[in-house]
Amino acid sequence: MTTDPLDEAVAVLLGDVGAYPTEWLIDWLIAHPDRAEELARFLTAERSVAGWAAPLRDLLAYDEGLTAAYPSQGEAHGVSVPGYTIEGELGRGGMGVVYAAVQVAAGRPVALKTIRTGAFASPRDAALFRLEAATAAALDHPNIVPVYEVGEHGGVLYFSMKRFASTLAQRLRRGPLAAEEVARLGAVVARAVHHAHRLRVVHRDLKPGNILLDEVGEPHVADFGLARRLDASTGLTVSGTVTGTAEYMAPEQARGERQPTEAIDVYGLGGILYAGLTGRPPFRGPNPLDTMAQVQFAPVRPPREVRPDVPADLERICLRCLAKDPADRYPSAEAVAEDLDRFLRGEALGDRPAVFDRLWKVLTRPPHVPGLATLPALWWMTGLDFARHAGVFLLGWYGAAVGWVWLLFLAMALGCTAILWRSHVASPRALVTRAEFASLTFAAGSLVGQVLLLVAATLSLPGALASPTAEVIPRLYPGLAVAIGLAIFAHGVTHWGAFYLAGVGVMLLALPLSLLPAWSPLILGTVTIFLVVTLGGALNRQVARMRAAAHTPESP
Amino acid sequence: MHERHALDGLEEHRAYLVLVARLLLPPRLRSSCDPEDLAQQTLLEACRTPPAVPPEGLRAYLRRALRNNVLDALKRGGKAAPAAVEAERSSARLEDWLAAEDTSPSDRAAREERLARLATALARLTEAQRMAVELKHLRGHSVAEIAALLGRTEAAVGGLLRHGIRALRDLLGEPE
Repeated sequence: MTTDPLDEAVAVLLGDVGAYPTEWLIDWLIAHPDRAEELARFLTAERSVAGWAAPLRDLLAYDEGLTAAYPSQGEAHGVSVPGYTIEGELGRGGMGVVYAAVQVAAGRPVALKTIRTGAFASPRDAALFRLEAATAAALDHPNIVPVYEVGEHGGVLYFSMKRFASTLAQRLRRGPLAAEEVARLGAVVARAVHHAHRLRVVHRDLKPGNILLDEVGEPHVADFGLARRLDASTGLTVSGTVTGTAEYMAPEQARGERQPTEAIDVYGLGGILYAGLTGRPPFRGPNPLDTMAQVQFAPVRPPREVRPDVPADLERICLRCLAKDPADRYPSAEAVAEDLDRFLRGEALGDRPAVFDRLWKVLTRPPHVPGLATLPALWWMTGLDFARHAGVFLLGWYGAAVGWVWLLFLAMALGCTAILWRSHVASPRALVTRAEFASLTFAAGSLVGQVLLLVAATLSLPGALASPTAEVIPRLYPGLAVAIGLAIFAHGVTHWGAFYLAGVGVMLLALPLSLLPAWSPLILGTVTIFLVVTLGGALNRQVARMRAAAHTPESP
Repeated sequence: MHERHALDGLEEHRAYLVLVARLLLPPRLRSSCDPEDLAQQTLLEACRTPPAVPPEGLRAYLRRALRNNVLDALKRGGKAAPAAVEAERSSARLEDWLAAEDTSPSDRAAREERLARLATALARLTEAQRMAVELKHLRGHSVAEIAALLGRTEAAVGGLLRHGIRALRDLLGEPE
């Protein structure tokens, strides 16, 4: 009998209290896109049932001291590690159980992390765990939780680390922190993360739950559980079995990109600052699928909207860390620390990136739309557009009256409306994304402008509608080039930086067009159709490449 | 015969009592002390000696009678002291919650009602589904632990939870 993938997903998603293994979920969604809706419905139902059960569950929560009597907790794992006395359970993470223990020889309290399934863990889990321990142990920094010992006993892998009083997440349950406190704590954490980055270790799961606080409230970064060495020489691809929390996940992680980058941690620092200032994560949806969508597409609510007394500069630092596009974030964790220090000293924040640097980034950044869904409609509309320009050219050549140009424009507008109706209103996949909606809005706005230009150009002629077409062309076409160029330019915001260049190019056409009036309809028509074909095609190819790169596991 | 007849009036409370008994009994003792038996015993006693119904209602009376029966059973069975202590504490918390100081009598009744609705809905699930959902949502066990307790694979537990939760959601509607 085969297992329903949905059952498997439920087992994994409900496996850990409070945390969904989001990377696993992304893989699952890619493999079973047709079941996504059913899963989302289930997760909502689960929340509802949990809401009914919650008061009873809290009610019956057993006393700490009694849990040891339960065979299903603690003892059932048969956890006994030589040299340690286990005192109780501290928590459960994506990969294991953390116990409060005492290292007998050193007589010091420790947090003892073990692989939850003990001897039953797959070799892959075991390798990941050892790598995690080795990675964390290699980091020596006063604000990174020190690892004391790594070992294996009776099929159970474990490592012991310093035990702390509480986590930032626990502290934040009592409410947000003072702005200066957030900045100070953020700067310390950012420097610790930067230290790891210099050793080519990326944390990838920074969140308040991973920031441990000692007795004086000093933060220590823990659980480099997802950290992976940047150099791929370890050859261990672990996509799929790691856990992240969707609420603090970077947009590129939510999209399923596997590349560990420092930019992910810069985003994570932003999440910690945001939580410190507001007491809540940047995004929180009713279920992880929803949260992941918000992380990718929704603008973050500025901290000052949540708490008006947050200083503007601190908000700016936080929001720059949380930028959707990694290119818009701080270039390093250290840069975050420096700006936080400037804020604490009351100085102006560091300079924004140089203008040309920013411009270059804007022009070269990858497309931010899932392809041109409206491409077929676009081909038809471009064809119609070219036919219009060719028509104007012929009317000019044969000396027809301007009235015929009006008819041409009217026919073109009607034709475009018919195409849009067919492809977007009558078909089921109507206007899928905001980007496509924006694209059509730009086109419609441009068309209105073009008609108004024609009206204005005609009115300025002595013979009005009866004047020869050749006379209206020089008054009309430079303006048309600007109207069309602007619409293309606007796609730079919604689709791809390359459209900025194309738009400026078309607007610049206004100059040669006014010098070559007779040929201008053909020139503009040809340039437009050329740009749409080349840019539209290039955009779709680029998106397909990105998708392929995101969906195949990390290449060796 | 008259016993059977008298039970009818109390029958609607059976699912509720079974749930409370299950909540009071630590899972590992359920095989020796059957929650169904304890609920049945409590209902039978109630119709043999019809109770003077306390002001907070018949359910509260039955719940307390049940608690005594659970504790007696644990003591009679010579179970380890911690089990009885646990059951007693669970019971005390349940009473505290239902009669919390900040609640009005109508809130208290609403809580009772909620508990009863949950009990009735749970009783309609298959045995395996009910156990999976209870262990997960009332006792807070992980899927791996439930799989071990029920002797099934984790995916099978996922299936039980999926169908159980869907059915419960349909039976319960939105949480208040």
